[in-house]
Amino acid sequence: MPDGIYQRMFEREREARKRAEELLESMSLELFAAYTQLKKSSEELFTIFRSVTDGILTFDSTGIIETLNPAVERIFGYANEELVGRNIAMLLPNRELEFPLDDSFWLNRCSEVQPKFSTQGLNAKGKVFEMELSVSRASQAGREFYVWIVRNTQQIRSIERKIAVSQRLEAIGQLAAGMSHEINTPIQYVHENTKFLRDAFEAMESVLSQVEHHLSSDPTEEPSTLSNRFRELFGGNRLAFFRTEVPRAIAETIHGSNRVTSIVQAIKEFAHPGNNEKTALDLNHAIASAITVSGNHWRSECEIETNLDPNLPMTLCHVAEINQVILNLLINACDAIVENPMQASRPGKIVIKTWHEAEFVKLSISDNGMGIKRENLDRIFTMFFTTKAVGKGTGQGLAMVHSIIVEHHGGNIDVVSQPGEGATFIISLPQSL
Amino acid sequence: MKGVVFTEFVDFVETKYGLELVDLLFSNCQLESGGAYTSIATYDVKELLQLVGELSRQTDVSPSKLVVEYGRHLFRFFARTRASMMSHLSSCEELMASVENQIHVDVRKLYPDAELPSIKFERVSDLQSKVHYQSARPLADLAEGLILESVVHFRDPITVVRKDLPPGDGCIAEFVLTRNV
Ligand code: HEM
Ligand SMILES: Nc1ncnc2c1ncn2[C@@H]1O[C@H](COP(=O)(O)OP(=O)(O)OP(=O)(O)O)[C@@H](O)[C@H]1O
Ligand SMILES: [Mg+2]
Repeated sequence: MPDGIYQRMFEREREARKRAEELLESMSLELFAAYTQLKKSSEELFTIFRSVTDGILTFDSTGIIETLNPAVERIFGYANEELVGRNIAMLLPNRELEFPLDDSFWLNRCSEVQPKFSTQGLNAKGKVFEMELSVSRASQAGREFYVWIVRNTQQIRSIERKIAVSQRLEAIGQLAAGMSHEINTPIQYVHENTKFLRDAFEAMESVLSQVEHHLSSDPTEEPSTLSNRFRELFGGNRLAFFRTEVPRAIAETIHGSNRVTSIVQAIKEFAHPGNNEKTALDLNHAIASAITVSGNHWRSECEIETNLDPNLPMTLCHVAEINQVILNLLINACDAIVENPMQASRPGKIVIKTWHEAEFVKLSISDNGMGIKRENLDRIFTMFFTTKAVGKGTGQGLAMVHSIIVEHHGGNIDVVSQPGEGATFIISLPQSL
Repeated sequence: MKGVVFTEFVDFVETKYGLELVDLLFSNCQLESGGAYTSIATYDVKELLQLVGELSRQTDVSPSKLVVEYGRHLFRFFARTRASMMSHLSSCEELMASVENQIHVDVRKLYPDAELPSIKFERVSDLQSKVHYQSARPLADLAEGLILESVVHFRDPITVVRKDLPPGDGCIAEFVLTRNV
């Protein structure tokens, strides 16, 4: 066989090898890039999985726990290795689960409309707690498994309670400036009147000491001369002026200090954190207090008219919470009046009414402010919904009002509004038996 | 077309006709790749048709016959090197039924740029079935060779009848497999 053939064959083989090496090199580069990318995205996913605050847990159709994130460890108080390989039933109190799971048990309780449901969990310390669960079924490479997303609602509730307290303190904070003014005004005229009484007393004191002096200096003096002197002493208008003004100043001072006392009392009632017990409350009294505390807030903007049912039954409630409700509604009404572009042509007015109907005690607060746009009516009770300028509203007021009335008291709240004309909030509370 | 189809073709020519003919084909064909084939690269199917044409001129055997023959060679190669892909199969029909959904699927995992035909298997009766070939490349002859050799491989008493379907350019064909009783 001629040499040329082997020469050419050798050349072709060498070319082929070079080509193959090039290709392998670029493939391994691609592979490396793909691997790096994959690693990065799986690390990202893993970080998300580990850092979410909701618990994520998977188990197979026989209930054996396969994976879980640190939130599950926190919620149930077990370490990862104490759960993996064990049965999911250990996380549920008094519940005998049958495996394979009957889908209707979990999945029917989770739908698109209602993706989660409330149930009870059992933690490592044997404590039963409220949790919110969403369950879904997943399959990977033909293997079926279940995914739990768990949230400890008890913890959330306690956070909500803290927000509630801070919201109340904030409502009071908003009023603080106004309240100091409320107290300052009567204190000021108590102060003025007391100064006046001091002057009056000095003047009278000088008359009295002269009288004393006359009486003791010359016992032989003619009674007529004496009475002349006294007439002189009393003659100036000054004494007559004091005799009419002092009782007025005293009355005003008493009124002023009463007013301070009642304001302080109202503030105390409002700021009082309240205990967990419900107590009987006279709603009319609570309204009067709220009007007092918030006086400085509304006085320059509008007038408040009350139409209170004198035979209003008591209502059993958390007093501090109901105070907060009234205050929030009152401040909202006042804000609506201030923000009303028509305010100049229409004096602001808030009307507060109480009445009773069947087993309910009712309260309405109406204002003639800017009203609520139709598209916002559904949203005003949502947490953090506000139309107020940055730094003004936080959108927590009505959300708190709603949860206090509906959830804590089994009551009801309604709102009617004609945009541009005003708004009325109506509250029903069950009356105490 | 994957390089393996080319390297095996060269192997086929060399085994059957010798190294000189391989050298002659490459000298006469002026291929874009220069004939330096490697199984992991990809080449234009035109080069294969060029080589087949030249081989036909040199041997006086029709291109069609050559490609069928090459198909047989290729099947033996696959049966040898990819035995694991077929080890669980016990008949020619079973193999034909799994090309589309299994074998070629695995091929695509290895070579994402593979250009594979559609091979549809249809059982007509206990004794008869049909394999429908359709491709963007005119390689019905190759399919025929692969099928014929698989009959040999499984020692199946099967007769294969090929029917070319319009437009008759070798891109569409039907093979009727009948078991002899
Ligand atoms: C283990 C068995 C098999 C393997 C590993 C295999 C693998 C391959 C590979 C790598 C190609 C080249 C793809 C490309 O060029 O991009 C190919 C093409 C082809 N295969 Fe298979 N194959 C197998 C079995 C079969 C069988 C049994 C048939 C029977 C009809 C078949 C019919 C074809 C045809 C006709 C082509 C040429 C491409 C076309 O016509 O478009 N293969 N196969
Ligand atoms: N009496 C009302 N008239 C018109 N709009 C009102 C009235 N009361 C509430 N709204 C609307 O409902 C929104 C939500 O009220 P909400 O009390 O929840 O929050 P806010 O007053 O904006 O803020 P926050 O009370 O937390 O300081 C308000 O921003 C306002 O748009
Ligand atoms: Mg508010």
